[in-house]
Amino acid sequence: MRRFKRSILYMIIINTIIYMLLIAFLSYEAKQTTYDRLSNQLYFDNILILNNAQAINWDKKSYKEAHRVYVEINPYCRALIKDTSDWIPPMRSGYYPSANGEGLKAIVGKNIYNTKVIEKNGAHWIECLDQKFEVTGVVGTDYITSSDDVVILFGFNFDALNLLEKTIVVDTEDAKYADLISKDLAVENPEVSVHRGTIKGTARLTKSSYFYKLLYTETIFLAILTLILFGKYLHEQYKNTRQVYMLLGIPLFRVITYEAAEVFLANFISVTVSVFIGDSMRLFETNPLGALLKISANVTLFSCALILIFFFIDRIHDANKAHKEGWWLKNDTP
Amino acid sequence: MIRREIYYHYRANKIIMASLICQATLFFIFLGTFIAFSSELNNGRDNLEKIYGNKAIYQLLDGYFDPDEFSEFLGQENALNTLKKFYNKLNTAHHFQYLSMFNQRITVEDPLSKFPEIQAMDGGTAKIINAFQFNKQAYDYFNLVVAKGKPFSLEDFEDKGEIMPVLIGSKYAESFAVGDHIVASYYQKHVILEVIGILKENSLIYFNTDPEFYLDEYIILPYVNYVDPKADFEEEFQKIAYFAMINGYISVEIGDEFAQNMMAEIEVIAQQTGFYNYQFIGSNPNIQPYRGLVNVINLNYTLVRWLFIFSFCLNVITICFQLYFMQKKRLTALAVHYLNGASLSDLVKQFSCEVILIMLISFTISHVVLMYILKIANTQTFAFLLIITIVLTFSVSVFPIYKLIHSELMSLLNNTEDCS
Repeated sequence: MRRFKRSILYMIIINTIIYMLLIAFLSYEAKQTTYDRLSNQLYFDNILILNNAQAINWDKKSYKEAHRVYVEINPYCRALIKDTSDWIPPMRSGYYPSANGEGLKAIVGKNIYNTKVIEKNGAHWIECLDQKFEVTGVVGTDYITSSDDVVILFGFNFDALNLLEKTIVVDTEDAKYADLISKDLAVENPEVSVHRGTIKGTARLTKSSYFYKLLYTETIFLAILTLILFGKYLHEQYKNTRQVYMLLGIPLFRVITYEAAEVFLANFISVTVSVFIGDSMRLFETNPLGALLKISANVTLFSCALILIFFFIDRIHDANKAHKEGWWLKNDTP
Repeated sequence: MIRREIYYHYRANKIIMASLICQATLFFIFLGTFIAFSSELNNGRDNLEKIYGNKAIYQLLDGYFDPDEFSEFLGQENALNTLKKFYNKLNTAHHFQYLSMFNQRITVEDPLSKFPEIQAMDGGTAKIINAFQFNKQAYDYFNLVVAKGKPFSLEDFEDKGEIMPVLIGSKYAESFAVGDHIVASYYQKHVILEVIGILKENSLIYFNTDPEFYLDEYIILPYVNYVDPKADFEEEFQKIAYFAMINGYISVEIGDEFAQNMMAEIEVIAQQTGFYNYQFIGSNPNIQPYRGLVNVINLNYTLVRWLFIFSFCLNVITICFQLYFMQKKRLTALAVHYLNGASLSDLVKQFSCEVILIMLISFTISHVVLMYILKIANTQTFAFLLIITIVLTFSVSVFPIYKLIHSELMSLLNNTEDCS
């Protein structure tokens, strides 16, 4: 009984460490994304610059991956055509409007808010090419970034604009996907000239995507390795108890289910403790519930699978050993 | 004896040893990359601080916005002389630094298509490419570093006739080699650009209020101090070139006193040279975007550093755990050695050798990867990695050695020995 309790305690400690590592990684990923995008004028890391693209009907283009399409009015101001991503920039105040039309809305950086936005009838307005947009929020954070000078317009009336003279920008999160869009446009709309846009900020200066891949590999490897090692340790601890249970006639299925229940309980406690620690350390940028549930389910399933794997490995090992020793021959001997 | 024991131990635990080596190698690669990037970031950040820290930047423009006035000035007999004097005096001013720079595009002949993404004009081989011009002070001001070849020296800013030394942005590092020649037209003058160096990737400057103006896709030309022209065409070319050169930026320390001294000195220069038609486009203490960038870089660095520390701790714990686990498994074998005459220090020595060997193999593999595959390792990385290897070796050995010395079996054997 004492051993049983101690092993659960160890399991809770190890799992909590693993969850904390994964939470720290999720926090890193969220913060890194925010830094990269804020220092890159709210663009993703893969930008396609399209010229002579006025004929493209973006509503008919049904790309699967998240992407955004803008018309660049000037280097700081852009009008949104389409947004299939669910990323919302950090807002200093107000809210980020929906891409699916709520009228003429805009979000602005704090420098623009202080210089170009006018207040009228209790609302804030910005004017662009003779169209007035209601400012619904100020984007950015306390520190200074290139996003402080950005204006994004929603619901822009493109009929009044000569798109032939304007550049269209498509940005995606994935480099491969940007290539795919580029190839598709070359086939479907050969008149369009497409080239890669320049990215700026931390994504370029700190090579964050490279670091992300390296950290991702290291974190996953470390988490899996720790789970395997601890699984092996638990297996060694449970081995004798399990044999006693089986000698007492308790079915194997029930013994394994009992061990799995312990794993489940330990994981539940670890997740709860990790969420509490993570929250007190302010590691969560957004609501972590969805991501944590996925991680927790994977860790629990993997730990349960390890119980079975080590059990069968042991069985095979025992069988091999018995085969080498030829015990059945000895038993058959009168 | 120890060597043979280690060999048998490694052979009996191939998978665990391989996983330990993998884990340590991956950690060292991660660490090496972290060190390389931190040092690059720190250098970049320090350079930016050195460049912009407590500096105000003013833009200096000639006042000839009216084309007629401009033509009238160019028509004056001593126009070129006035421009040259004004430019040279700005360069040798005492109270400010004159940074002359501009992104004037140039036409080049590209028969071998070394600029494949740029379309040739009229089906020929001539292409218009991005070029950036610096005077010596501006070039030195931004501390630009070359990855290959040599940087600009003072003599590169002297008139060498048709030949003009240039630096190439990192994007074209594969297309050009040091010593290559490019035939070009610069303000309608035929020149041969000689590649003397290739800029480091992500070389950036502050230009046109952009704190991140990257030079990767540019050819960098020096603003040459031309000798007196021998032909009319040469004179016209020099007038245009010097007009571009007197439009630049002025860097002074932040403060009213420095600004007043700077303006007074420019006024004196204007009187001495006879070039009065100039103006400032305000001061630009708006180097805030740059400060924001440095701030974000710092935050990013802190974030990665914390994750690295966390990862280091977990690595130590897991490696310790594995070693302890292995040791526990073969405690009986160690006890047999002990009974056969091996001392406790022999067993500790054997264990230490095993750990050191694992760490050395991992260190060597990771160093080869960092040096020859990722190509980011330098002496500093090597030294730092070596220190961390020693620290890690020590950290992961302490706990298992302590447990070995204080194990029940060892106490029992010691007691048995005492009794006998």
